[in-house]
Amino acid sequence: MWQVLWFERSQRIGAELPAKEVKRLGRKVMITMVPALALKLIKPLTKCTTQAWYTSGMDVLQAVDRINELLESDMGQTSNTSMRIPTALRDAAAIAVRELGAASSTTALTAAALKARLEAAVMQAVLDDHIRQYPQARPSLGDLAVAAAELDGHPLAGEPERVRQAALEVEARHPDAEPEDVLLWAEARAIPAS
Amino acid sequence: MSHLIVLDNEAVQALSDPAHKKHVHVVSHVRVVADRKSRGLPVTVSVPTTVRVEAGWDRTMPAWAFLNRLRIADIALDGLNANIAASIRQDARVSVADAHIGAVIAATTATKVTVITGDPADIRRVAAEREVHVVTV
Repeated sequence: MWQVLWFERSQRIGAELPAKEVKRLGRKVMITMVPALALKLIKPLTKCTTQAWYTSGMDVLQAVDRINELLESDMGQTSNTSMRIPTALRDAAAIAVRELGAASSTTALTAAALKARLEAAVMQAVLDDHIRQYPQARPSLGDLAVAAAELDGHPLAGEPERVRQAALEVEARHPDAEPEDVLLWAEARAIPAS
Repeated sequence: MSHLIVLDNEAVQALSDPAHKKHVHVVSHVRVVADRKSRGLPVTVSVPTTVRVEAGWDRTMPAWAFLNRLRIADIALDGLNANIAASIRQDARVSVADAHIGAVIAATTATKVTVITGDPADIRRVAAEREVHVVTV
């Protein structure tokens, strides 16, 4: 049987509530086996054998906070999951572990990749939210290309104007260009014609 | 190839304040890091805890929520790092926070290190022989 916890945004740990109160409170109630976040009353899905442990209804920053909290919590606890991955991917991972020493196990490899991807998703979401609040903080492609050059100690890092000019040229033809595309173009432009 | 990016006080200030003249500059660095992480590249952004002290970055204060959410990891000044930092501070005559950055640079196993700073000369001094990319904000 589920433990029912009362939850408000400002709270992390709630108190048990009677079922009638749960029904009345609806979305403000969380249901979970641990004192974690969830935002509304749900029923287990009949199509899935894994007990639902989260619900939708969080806003972006609540989701970010919850993901960060989970990423920083004890990773020693493990769970079996019914998550399905392509068989070929599973087999490739097994070979990578066994023959290439990519990780100590396929589980470790999968967990590390998942963690890195989650961290990236969190950072992207936080930056997107920040830029929604402060549109003037949005970097241009030129800004990103300069930043990429600086982080790597690229020879063009000391020539930001050249990089920005290259960004304008690349963006005019390729609106989805990446900072690295700009650096490549700027580098190519810097090579004197023979 | 792992890449460690270290923020110093000026970078923290610029990132935390949307009105700071270098805010977009440091946001650009973080955006590039996020893009690289999403492509599976092993890159992390960190802040030495003494830099946090200098910058006034208290993780429990709502004012710092934006930076807290960006998964910028603390690097604590533990006993080992304190010994290295003490030596660097004596030799280079820099602040405690800069000496801590030097200790981080000396102790890291990352193959590439970048420091985003307002004082490149001090960072080059504390980095000593270690190759470090220094980004000036």
